[in-house]
Amino acid sequence: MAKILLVEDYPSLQKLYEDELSSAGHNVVVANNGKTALEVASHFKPDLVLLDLLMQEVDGLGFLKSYDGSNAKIIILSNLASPGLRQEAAKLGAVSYLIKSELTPKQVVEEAEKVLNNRRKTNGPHTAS
Amino acid sequence: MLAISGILYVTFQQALRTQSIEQVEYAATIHKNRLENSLAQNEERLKSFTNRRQLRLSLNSYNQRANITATDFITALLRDVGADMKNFKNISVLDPQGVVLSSTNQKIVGTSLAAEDYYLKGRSMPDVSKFFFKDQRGEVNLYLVGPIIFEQKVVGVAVIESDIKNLLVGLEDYTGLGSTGEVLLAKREANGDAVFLTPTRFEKSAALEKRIKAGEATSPVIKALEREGTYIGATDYRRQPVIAVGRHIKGPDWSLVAKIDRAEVDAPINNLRDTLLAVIFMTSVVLVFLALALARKVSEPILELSDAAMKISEGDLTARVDVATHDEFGKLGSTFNDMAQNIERLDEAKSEFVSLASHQLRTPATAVKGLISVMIENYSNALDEKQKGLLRTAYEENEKQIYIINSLLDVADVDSGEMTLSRSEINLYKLTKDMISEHQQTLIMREQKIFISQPGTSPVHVWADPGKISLIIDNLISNASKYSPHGSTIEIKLEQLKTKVKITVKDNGFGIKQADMGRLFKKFSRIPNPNSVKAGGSGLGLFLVKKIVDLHKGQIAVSSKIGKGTAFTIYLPGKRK
Repeated sequence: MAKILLVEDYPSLQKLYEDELSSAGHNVVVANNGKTALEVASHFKPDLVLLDLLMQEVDGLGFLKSYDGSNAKIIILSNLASPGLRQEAAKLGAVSYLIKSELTPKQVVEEAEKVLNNRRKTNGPHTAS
Repeated sequence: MLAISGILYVTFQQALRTQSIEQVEYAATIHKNRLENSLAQNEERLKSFTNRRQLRLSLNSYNQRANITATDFITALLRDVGADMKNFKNISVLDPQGVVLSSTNQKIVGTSLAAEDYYLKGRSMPDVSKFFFKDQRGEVNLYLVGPIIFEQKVVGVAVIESDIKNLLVGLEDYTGLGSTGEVLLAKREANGDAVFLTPTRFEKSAALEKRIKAGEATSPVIKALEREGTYIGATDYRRQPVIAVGRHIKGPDWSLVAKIDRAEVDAPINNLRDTLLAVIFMTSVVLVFLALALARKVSEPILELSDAAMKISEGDLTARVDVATHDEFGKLGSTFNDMAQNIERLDEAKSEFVSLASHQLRTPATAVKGLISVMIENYSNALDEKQKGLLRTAYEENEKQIYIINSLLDVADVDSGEMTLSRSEINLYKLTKDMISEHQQTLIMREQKIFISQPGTSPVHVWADPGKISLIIDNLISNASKYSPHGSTIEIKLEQLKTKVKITVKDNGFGIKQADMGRLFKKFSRIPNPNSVKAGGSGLGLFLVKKIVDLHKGQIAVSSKIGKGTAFTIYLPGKRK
């Protein structure tokens, strides 16, 4: 059981991931964009952030730049896959980079739990597109 | 130009010939007059001499009684007539027996000339006659022989011996006759032949030696004996074509010919012709070069436009022309550039649109994937087998949809030049194995076998973008499987060459028609598949494969035989640079 902040602006995906994470027993809070996520994170203090990149207001990278949650692991969960974005995200502290269209919600949860269980910072298994 | 040159040539030639004919005619006329005058004068003198009463009386008296007084008187008369005459060597008076009674040449006085032909012939003639003989020095002498008659009896013979050269003063003066012109003099022989009387310009020994046969109709010397005139087409004793003017000296029946070589007459016009031909030739050469230069000037911008149009048609939309002239070409060039600019803009807009639309499509497609997977994973207990099957099909179709969307995004990246490589050291063998396993299910379904081989001991590595190389292998396996019949075999061979890595994907499928080879790597081009009309993808696979190979600075080749199969070969730079 972990505290997970899901930052996702697309409603049906939001609901899918939220349901799947909750079913797995996690405490999930959802944010629609980077700005809301920053506000929520400041008091929710998540163990893990699942972060979309393309969003209104503050986007994923914007959140990464402003967020100072040293305890939280951050996983990028996006459909964007350019090498540049991967590098940028890794530089800003993301430990994993997941491509939404390649994974089912269940697989996303599995990846999230792998990161939670793994104390060491890694780039995760799904670096290739 | 040639026609005008031709007319000018003929005109000038005529003018030159007319001029030469005039000069030759002048020479002929002058010499004829001079000769006839000279001959007539001497004949006249000889006649009047032989007619002198004192001479006849003295000779008659001498013949009756050989008295010295008569001889002295004759000698006095001789001196008298000799002083009056020109162009002679000596004048002699002979008695009827042929003994020289008196002569301007004292040496021959008292000698008998009775055996001389001219004497015998001349004596029997009623009037003065002429004879020609060559002396020991080869010079031709003319003898005028006139009988001296008293009371119907020949009482003596008068002989004027002259060197023919003396008669023909100036015959060897070739002034006005150029370097080949001359005046010839010939007499008619009994058989009709003509024999030269004088040395000629080119044959010093011609006098009384050189003979022209009567039958040589083109010889001016023969012609002149028949008819006086101007002969353009004559051939002289040297067989040279000449322009000749012939005259007939009636008394002695001689022909006098003044002539000049036609080559000399025509030389100026021929030189001019040669010069003109050279000028025409050089002008032609210059004109040809000018024409070529002009053609180049005209064709160069067209070729440049054609090149640029070709580049654009091949997909390089940045091609432009540099036609800075202010003529129609310049206008065409700038219009062309505007057009190319518009095409480029449209292409960019298209790429942006495809990119945007694909992005927009991908999120809901991802959501559908999530939704179906949740249905399958969480609610499968509530579903019967048919429902589960339908859901699985929906899931697979959704996967295809996502694959196409991703391909479209890759193509948009390629088009906009935004596709970049993130290289790392790849174990190609492992990567290929992984890709094969992704296709395992399909291959089993189609009962197709796949083999992977790598000669050598160490695994083949390549410095490349793993995601992109996966896409290549994925596409080639997918195509090999799709375009082969059930139960066929696919072989993948990985080879480490010196500086390259060679990947071969070979099937024994349907093969590709030669006609389809050209568009194999073109965007959205799909080759008809005998397996199924519906099978096949977006038509983007091989386009992306080619682009990714290019991006890695590699090469791709394909060889195929209908009914035998197809082999794709890819070379990638092996080492990290």
